[in-house]
Amino acid sequence: MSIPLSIFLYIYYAFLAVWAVFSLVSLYHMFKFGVKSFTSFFAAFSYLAVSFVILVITYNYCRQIDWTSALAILPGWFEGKMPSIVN
Amino acid sequence: MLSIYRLPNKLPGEKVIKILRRDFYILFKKVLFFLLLAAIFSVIVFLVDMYLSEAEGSDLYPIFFLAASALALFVWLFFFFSFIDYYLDIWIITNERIINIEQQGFFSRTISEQRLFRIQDVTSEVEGFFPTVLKFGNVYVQTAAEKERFSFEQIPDPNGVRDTIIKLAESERERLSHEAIKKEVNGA
Repeated sequence: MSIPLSIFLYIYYAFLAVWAVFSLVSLYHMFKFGVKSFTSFFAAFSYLAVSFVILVITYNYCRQIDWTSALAILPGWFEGKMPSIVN
Repeated sequence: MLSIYRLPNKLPGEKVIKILRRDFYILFKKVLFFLLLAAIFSVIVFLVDMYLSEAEGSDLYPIFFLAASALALFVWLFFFFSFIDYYLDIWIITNERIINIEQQGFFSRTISEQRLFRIQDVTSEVEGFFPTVLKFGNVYVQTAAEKERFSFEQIPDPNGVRDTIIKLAESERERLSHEAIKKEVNGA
């Protein structure tokens, strides 16, 4: 049995959407209710910068993967090759 | 964005006396927890990476990479929100009132205020090893009308803050009684 690798990419996109919503809420709080200061801007900038780095690294890796290929789950188990008990 | 020099619903002649946040130790604890989490995460990523490259599990590598990326983003978001939670909890003492602005979770924010002349009792509390050594603690303000106490949590120098609030409340009551006497004299 095999499943397409792209499914995991879609699951990752779903995670990313949730993360983006929470990030926007956090940044909204920071800018709406934070005190106008260097710390506020530095914290927001650091958050965006590190997030950007993580996303760029992920994107660069994902570019090299063939997402159309399939992933074999428990190879052999669904083809009558289940491990047998040896006496 | 809130400016220290522009208070919400500023009263005429109101001056900011003190702006307080939780003690720096609280932020330090959050940073330490984040570093610990990041270290555990790095070790797990390193071990799984080693296992996958040795066990001919290259098919699983993209999934592992996506999971690591998602986890890294969520750990970073968690840390950022912890910082916001620390940074957006502010107590402002002015010459006329005390204001409590508290961030509670992602979608909850409470802003409350008390006029100084209503204050009846101010209590400071320092409890535990680190609060005693680092001199931070809570200040509870009891007013005439309120059932709940107005509290300043984990602020530096709670005894000094208590003294400041008591002095300001006394001078505010004095000012108001002088104004009332003046009005009576002028009316008569």
